[in-house]
Amino acid sequence: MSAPSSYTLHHPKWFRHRVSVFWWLQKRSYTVFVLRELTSVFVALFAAFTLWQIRSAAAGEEAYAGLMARLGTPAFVVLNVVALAFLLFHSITWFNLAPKAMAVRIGGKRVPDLVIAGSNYVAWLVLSAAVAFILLAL
Amino acid sequence: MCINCLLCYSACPIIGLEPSFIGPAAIALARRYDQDNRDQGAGERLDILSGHDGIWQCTFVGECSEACPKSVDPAGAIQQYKLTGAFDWFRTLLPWGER
Amino acid sequence: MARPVTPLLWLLFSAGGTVAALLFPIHAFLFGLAFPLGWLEPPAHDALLGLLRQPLTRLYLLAFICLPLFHWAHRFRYTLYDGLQLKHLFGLVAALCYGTALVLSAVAAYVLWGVS
Repeated sequence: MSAPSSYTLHHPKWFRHRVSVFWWLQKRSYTVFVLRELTSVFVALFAAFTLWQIRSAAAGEEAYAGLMARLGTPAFVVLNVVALAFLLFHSITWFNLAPKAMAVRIGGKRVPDLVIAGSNYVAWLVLSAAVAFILLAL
Repeated sequence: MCINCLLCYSACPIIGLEPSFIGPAAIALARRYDQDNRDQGAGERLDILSGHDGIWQCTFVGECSEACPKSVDPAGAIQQYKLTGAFDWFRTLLPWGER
Repeated sequence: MARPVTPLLWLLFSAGGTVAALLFPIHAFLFGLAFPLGWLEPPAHDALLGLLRQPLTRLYLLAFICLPLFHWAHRFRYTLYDGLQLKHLFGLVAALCYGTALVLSAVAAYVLWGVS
């Protein structure tokens, strides 16, 4: 038998690769994850945008008309298209991940993920239709 | 069934960034014991897991479940733990809530 | 518990994320594209204002604005920690994120209260 081999014991503090700030660009699934997290920026922007809208509407007819005209300009249209894309990405990833966070059991059997995700999508459609109906019927 | 391969730890970006994070396999195992009605250690585990190195560091990247060769789904286990952990915490706030 | 407030922040994050996921796309489509570009008939200003004055609408809009702001605050904080590795600035990051959410929520409450 040869001489017994020696090895270095692992110790968490002795050597660690420095993780690059761009670790999330190195793998596609990590990049998709970061994009998913960045949808929250557009969520916040849209919340602020809604606040701006409410303020304009409350300030009077001219303020509101001015806002609507502004929203028709190319810069805002592009921004809104991008924002809508990110918001849709948020919704889809949110509904697809929701079943993982909730282990719903009916009668002892686990409800399949598709049912939970599906019911989320149905709720999404119903609520969107309700909002559209209310606003278009005004 | 977890075979302790620790592929989930390799896949998890949080482990790379924060070495003291408890990690997917450990949390999934903790949840497995919480679900086991023969076990009474849930409170002790809750203290550790809701601490600094625990479940709240997880941002549900989901890579751990992707990497798992045995479909343990640690990501799902952690999210479920967050949900039950959050509600348990709420219950301790209520005047009639027990620990 | 080491961080007693984290469960509350996570629950706010979840609630905000659900509100945003269910309601933001339709609002963004209507108010961001369909109405300004004339694809659909926008509501008249006085009709909209009438709707705004309802207490139910004000409550809806308060939740609509505030909860997703806290969703952003929590999520963005962790994105800064992990994405840009700013964990050592945790106090500043937390103050910026939740502070912004709180301030904007207060502004929203003030604006919605004052709709006449």
